[in-house]
Amino acid sequence: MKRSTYCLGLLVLVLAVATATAVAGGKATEGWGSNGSFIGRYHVNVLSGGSAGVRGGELTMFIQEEFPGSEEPAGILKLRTKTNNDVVYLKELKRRGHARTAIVKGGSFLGPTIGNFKGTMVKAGKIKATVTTRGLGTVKAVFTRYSKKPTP
Amino acid sequence: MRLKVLFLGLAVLAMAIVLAACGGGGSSSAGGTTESTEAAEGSAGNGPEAASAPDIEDWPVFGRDRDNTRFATQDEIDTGNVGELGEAWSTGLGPDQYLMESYPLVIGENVYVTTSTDEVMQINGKTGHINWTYTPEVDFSQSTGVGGYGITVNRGVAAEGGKLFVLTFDNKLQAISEKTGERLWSSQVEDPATGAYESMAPTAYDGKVFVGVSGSEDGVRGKLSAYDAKTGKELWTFYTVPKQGEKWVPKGGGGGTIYMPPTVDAATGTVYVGTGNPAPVLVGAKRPGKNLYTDSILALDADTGKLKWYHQEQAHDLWDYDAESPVVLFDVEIDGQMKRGLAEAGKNGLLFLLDAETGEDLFPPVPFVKRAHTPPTTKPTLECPGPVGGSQYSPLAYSPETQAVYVSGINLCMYLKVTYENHNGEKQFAGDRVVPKDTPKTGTFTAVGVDTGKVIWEHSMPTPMDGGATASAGGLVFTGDQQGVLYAFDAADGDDLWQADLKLAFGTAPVIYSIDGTEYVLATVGGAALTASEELGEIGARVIAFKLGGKKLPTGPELKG
Repeated sequence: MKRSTYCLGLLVLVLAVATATAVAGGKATEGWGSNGSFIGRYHVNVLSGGSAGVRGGELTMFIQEEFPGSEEPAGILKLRTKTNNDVVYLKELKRRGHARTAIVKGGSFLGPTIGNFKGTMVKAGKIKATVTTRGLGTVKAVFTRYSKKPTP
Repeated sequence: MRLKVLFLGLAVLAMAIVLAACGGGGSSSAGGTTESTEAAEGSAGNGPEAASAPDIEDWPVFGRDRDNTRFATQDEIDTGNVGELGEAWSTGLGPDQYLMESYPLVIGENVYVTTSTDEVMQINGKTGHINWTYTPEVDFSQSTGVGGYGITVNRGVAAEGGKLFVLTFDNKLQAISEKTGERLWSSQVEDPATGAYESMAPTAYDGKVFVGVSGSEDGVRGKLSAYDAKTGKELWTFYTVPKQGEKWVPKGGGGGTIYMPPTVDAATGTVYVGTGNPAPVLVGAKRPGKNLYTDSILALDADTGKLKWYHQEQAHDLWDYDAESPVVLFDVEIDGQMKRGLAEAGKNGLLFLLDAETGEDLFPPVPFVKRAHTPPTTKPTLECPGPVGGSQYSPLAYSPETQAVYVSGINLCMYLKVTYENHNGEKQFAGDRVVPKDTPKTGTFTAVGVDTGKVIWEHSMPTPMDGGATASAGGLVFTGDQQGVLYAFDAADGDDLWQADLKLAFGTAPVIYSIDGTEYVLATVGGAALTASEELGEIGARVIAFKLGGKKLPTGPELKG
């Protein structure tokens, strides 16, 4: 009995370590998961406005999976400061567990890489994330989906 | 699979080049000059026998005067002293602003410039201080735009009667106070769900605001409309192509959209405007005939919108050869007869010199870039110019002193392949466009005599030329390239007299104005959508003013010829 308990415990430990290794050190998966979990339009609730003082905005997520150099953006992110509409583009979506990441392009979705998006999918349609760009600094926000249709 | 990825990579490279294809009444501010309004409304001819260009100090309409010449009458800066030109001030337009296709207006002491995300800024022309910013609420999420997926540019405002008029990406025409930036009214000019978007500056004239829509690659139906400048109410609309399913337009097709502001001849009450390609773009079999009025110059009655004449530059277009750049008017003597002339540089790489009264050719079209194209097929075919065009939206300049127009050219051949599929958010392109690997992307800058139809001089430029040209009574013509180098050439013989390396790509041409007797050359830089790629070294959007005795900037490369 003691031996079997010991073996079971050891097995659980090995599995836990293997899982943790896979999650922490494994290669991230392309895309942000199923369409239903993230495609659509989001309100942006700003928690921390960054150096440019972001006050609000909107995120639109288009497609499920992407790859480096693909022709399409995965998302368009408008962030509004006191005087500017800043429009940046999310590309190269990746996921690992609940983590969701992307690179941020400026000017167009084929423009220069100017930052990154690092978030956690709290639940389908709700992402808590940090967006960092050259011009805006580090912006923390909660993205809450209000429509599953990406276009008006 | 690897081949597919490689092909997609090439397609992406191509798209980085293609993105811009498919992208006013004078008024004085409270402190402005009366001359500005009178001169802008006067539409004085610019030929040798006619009155000289309007003698004004500012830049109150898109092309400075009604004829859209981009010819400044100031001569303080000239061929003899242009070497002393240096930076007077430089102002950034906000965080993460990376494109700049806005052609500013200058009224009194104030510069009015838009950003690629539709803000309007009033900037002090002497100091560069931003007095106010109008920030509209804009929906940027629609799945279209320059090259697809919401790439947004804004090419400027129009002004009349104390109001500024701006078009937002999501198809709103808005009037704001020229003095304060307060919004006065807003009108929806097209439903974004059609795929239409806005990139152009409107034109204001005689109580009307003239507005088109963009988006031929999505099968949008082109139109030019006139709106009441006081109320924003639509007065008339001229559709450039039939409805879907009627005549030559198949279901899902359309085209003939508009990317640049119309030019108004006040003397005849005529509005001149160029139109874009038909759609589906590469599949001609689905749209038989000439596909009128795509790729055409149209002359419309300013009061009614009734068509006076048309001149189609590319019948049954298969290459995306819009008549995109704005029309320039001039007076010229040919064989002893005075003519009212019109110039437009087509994306097909030809400069058209037409009789403005009839639309007939004054001279055979003048090529200004390499031209070699055949109908695209399901196999890749190299086409010159590529679908980005021989000249894009780039405005010409016209100098009455040299009797020449100055043409910005793009030498960029591209492979076209019919796939019947939709790419990049464009619903009706129906094919691939790919830049050949290791192909140099170059340009031309060409002076063509409007009285001869002959090339006077030409420069091979190190990059495609997007922004257009600006001439002055100082005997100069200015233009900027994608490396960020601003050039001043001798307008008569093309001598390269002065350069400044601004390190930010040009997607516009300078404007010239004077305040308190000092002449300024103002550059808006940050790149055309076409240039928004990793290839650019530095990024940002700025407005930079130059004057004699200003801070010296480094020069660019020596030109070959």
